[in-house]
Amino acid sequence: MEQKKIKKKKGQGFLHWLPFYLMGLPGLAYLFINNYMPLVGLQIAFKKFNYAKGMWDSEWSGFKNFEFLFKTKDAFIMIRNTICYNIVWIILGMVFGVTAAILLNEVAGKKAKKFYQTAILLPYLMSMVIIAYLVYAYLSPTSGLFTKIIERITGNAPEFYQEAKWWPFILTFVNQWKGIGFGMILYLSSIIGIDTSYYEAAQLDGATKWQQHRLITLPLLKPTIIMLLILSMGQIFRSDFGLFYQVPMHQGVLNPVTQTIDTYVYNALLKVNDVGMSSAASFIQSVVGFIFIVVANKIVSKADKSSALF
Amino acid sequence: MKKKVLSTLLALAMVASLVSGCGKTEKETASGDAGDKETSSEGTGEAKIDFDEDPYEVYVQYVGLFEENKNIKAVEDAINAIALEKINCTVHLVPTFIGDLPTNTSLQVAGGEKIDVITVGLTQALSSAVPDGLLLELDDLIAERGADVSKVTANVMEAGTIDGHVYAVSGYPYAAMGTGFVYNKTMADQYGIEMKDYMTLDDLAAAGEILKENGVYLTNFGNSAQLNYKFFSGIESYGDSAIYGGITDPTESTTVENIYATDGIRDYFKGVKGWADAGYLPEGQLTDTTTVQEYFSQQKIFGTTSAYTVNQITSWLSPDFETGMIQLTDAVISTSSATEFMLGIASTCERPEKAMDVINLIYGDAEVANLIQYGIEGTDYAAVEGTENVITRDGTANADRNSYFSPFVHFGNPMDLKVVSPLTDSYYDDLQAFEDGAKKSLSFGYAFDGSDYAAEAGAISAVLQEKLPMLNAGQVADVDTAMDELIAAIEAAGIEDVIKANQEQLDAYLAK
Repeated sequence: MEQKKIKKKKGQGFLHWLPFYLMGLPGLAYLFINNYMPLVGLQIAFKKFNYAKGMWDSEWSGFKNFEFLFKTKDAFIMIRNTICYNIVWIILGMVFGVTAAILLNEVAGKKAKKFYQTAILLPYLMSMVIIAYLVYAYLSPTSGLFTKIIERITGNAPEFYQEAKWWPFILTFVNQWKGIGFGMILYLSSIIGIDTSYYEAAQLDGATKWQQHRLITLPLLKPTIIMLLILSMGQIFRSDFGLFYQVPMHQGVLNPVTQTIDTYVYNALLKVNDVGMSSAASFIQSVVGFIFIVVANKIVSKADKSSALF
Repeated sequence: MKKKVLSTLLALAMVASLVSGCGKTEKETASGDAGDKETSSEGTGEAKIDFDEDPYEVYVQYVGLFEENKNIKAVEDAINAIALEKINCTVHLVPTFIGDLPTNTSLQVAGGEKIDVITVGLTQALSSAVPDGLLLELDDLIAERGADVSKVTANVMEAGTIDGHVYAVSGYPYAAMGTGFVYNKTMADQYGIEMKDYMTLDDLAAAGEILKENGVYLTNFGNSAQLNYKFFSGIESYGDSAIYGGITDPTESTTVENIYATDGIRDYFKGVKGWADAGYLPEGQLTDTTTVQEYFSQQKIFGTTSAYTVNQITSWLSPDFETGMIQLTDAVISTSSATEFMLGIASTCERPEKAMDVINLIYGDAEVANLIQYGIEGTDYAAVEGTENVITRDGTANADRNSYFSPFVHFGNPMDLKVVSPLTDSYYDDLQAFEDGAKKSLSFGYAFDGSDYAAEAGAISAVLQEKLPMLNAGQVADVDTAMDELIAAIEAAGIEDVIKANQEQLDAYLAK
């Protein structure tokens, strides 16, 4: 019965759907202008760009523009840093985001809920430059709050900006503190959509809160979690430039733990100002991101076809 | 059906984007030939102006500290009154923030935006702007329409030459430049610090000790990846921070070497570390975001390194104290000093001959040169009484430097330009004497074309960004270890190949 209805609708033809396509037109136009038109510029990564000749007439240079990325031993460090930080943060972001969403959903008071939600989201809206100065206020070698407290207690002031060992933790903390609010909202919107009758039935059967979340909330959140996971895979070769450059106050000595592909490209091209080389870096990031999304989606679809994105 | 429509739309999108990308107009690529539209008295450099056509508007990049100078429109109008009468065109000044200069220039030219006269040398070397295709060849234009340009910049014309063609004209026709140390003279007098005309790193250390006793730092190097060593050594540096190598004694030698592997730089960094250990430099300077200029004007440091020319001191004046300047190295006329600020014509310029007319007007007409350099008398500056050519901005609407002001630009013939107090009318004689007393670098006119070594330059630059700031600030535990690491890293990045290529290009240049 249901299938017949659908078939009948399909039979109504293109005219039936035309208004919907028209409605979608501005969005498609945006997508086309913003996401598809620039694709032709990818060729710049393989050219010795000349402003007078333009993109099409500049000479091809093969993979020459990619060489600077792999010229020094920094290549290993920056790729390791970029990928490792991203993997850790994707996992932590998921755990903290889901936890915060579940906890916030349990807050009964409407005003309190709004307050917590805003307070947790606030850092997400702050510029990295401001965050860099907030961190500096705590860690500054001459007047930082933490520096001074630790100095009082131990007699020695730690040189946060001169010692690399602190930064994997500082960067992780800042990243999670800043990003948790946004992830939380996405998960919360899914949790709110869960039918309350599941919980009522579970309560009648004597399920504890923990059991309710383990057996109802988490399984029903699975599609959202998987979707966000696959999408974040596309960003695995990218890094938040502000976080890795501004927050450590661009201290060269911290490079072993703060150098990522984006900060390396900035340092290398600050003086050289080469369009082809920056395009090459961006090209690699996009290609690797694309491969990661496809592979992650394939793995997910192998395990559970209905959860895969495509 | 839905899929079909979507795929059709996407296919259309791809095709359209290809077509739109093809849209670089012939006009843009063929601009180099556009210079022959008007007749001119060939070879004399005197342009024959067509006064019957509608005046053409020439867009001139004006580099500033701010996006907008308040009085820029009035300055334009005043210039245009003269330009219309003399060369039948108008000038539109395009304010460009110095921090965005290379990016803006690239985007303007690549995007086909209207820009005619562009500045080179300030933040992008001529030697990289030319291979990138940003500039037009000027040989014919100068020969046909640039009589005044030729006359004023003849001595340094070679510096704007790449592969035998002129691409830009120097804003520093008097290009003698040394290095110096600008200092707080009031403080020196107060603490009894003896400042000689010439000083060394060790001489300054003696001042550092006295200053420390009085709670003032000697200087501050900040978190910088610049090669500060050049201020104390007088080396000729190729590329920023000598990423393409350098010449240690440019008036005696033409050997390009890895500056970082020399004993001189090692000793210099040891000296600076000595300053840092002795407490002559501020603590936490690597994370301090206060600029050296702010430190100096707030009197927290005694002085700082700077280029040394006859009028350099005017960049460091303060209403709160008297400023002095001593010399660290001899003045040399070098490619880098002559190319520090240059004017060129964008490769996308539609009427290069009109752009050249404007450049020639700036070099030939004292009134235009002063207008574009200082703005309008009475509003942007006032004449100092009892002098012929000395001006001041204090007491005018430009006292806060936002009416019309750019400390970076150098337009026209310096002998035509007014000078800012405390310089005096003797400036012009001093400038000539300074120029006459300077030696010319043996490699004058040569610039390294590094376009085939961008990968190496990028990698070397990344290493220096990482390692130089700590050495510059004297914050390394051991200078020898840090220098060995730095040298190993830039060698791995390919500096030896770059230096070899640089030497070959230089030898070929000198052989010509």
